[in-house]
Amino acid sequence: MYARDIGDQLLTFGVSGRLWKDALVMYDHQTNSLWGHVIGKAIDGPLEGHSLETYPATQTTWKAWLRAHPDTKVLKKPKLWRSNYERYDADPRRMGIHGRRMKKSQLPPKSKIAGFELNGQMFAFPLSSLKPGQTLVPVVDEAPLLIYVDEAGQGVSLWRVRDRETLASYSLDPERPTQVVGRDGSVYSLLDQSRSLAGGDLVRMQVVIAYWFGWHNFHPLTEVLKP
Amino acid sequence: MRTLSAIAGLLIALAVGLPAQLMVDGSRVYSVLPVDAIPAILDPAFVTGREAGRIMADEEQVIGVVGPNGTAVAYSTWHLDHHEIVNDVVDGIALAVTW
Repeated sequence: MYARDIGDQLLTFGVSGRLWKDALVMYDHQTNSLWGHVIGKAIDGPLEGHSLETYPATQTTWKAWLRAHPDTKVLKKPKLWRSNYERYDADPRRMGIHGRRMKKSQLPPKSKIAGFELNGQMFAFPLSSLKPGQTLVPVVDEAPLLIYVDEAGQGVSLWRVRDRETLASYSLDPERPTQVVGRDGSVYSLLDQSRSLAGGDLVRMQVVIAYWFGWHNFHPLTEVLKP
Repeated sequence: MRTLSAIAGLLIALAVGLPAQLMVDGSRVYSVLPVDAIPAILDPAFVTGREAGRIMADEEQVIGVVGPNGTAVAYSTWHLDHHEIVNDVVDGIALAVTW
């Protein structure tokens, strides 16, 4: 999810039909520059080198989203579609369009990970290592993190906490498991961004759900975490 | 395997008539489909959460976003498979939803 403006220029994006590192390449209608959608950066054309600002988004199930946001709007769709990629998801041998293989992989290439950046270092949790419906408290380089995994085990929210003491002062709301409550009374929804909520010491971080091989194409020096 | 990939890439490039191979950060940018063969959404239309019950499955994956004024919007990733990009505006913020 990106804010689609660069300075004063508003951009609209289309699908270029190209792939870079096995991922979608967008183009903008205003300058015809090519943009890598994973990194949000123009890789060719007049805007080459410019980056789009990310906007926090959540990936979860429709059921969980509707429960957290009963008044949500939904992008209109023509009918009940299944994913085109279900068979692709299920086939561990199919990777990208070229079907190549990874050598000496730390994780199964087709396994899904939750990837994020912290102080310039890339990290990834295997989704299979995260328990649905729970928060976990791993520590990366002395920076406590709070993770929320939805009931389907597919949607992940990641929060950075100021320090360990602050982390210990937060607890899950037993009535609403998608919320955490701090001792100071501040409430965070784990399904959307914090900026709409007042107070507290949690900062929402960008987290990307991806195939390990696709993430690894962009971030080969990723440290794999297993809480 | 690498040779086969290179040949496949070349054939695809020839078929699409790509003038030159673009390399970025050591990786080739492959042309696999004509521009806009997958249509991005430029004028998104919406239904309410209640109305969506008929078209959305409980386990359907969505990308959800909340605007600065609290407007919540969900985009089905099953739907996005067919469009890849939605150009939207949420609470005055112009957003590109990409999948």
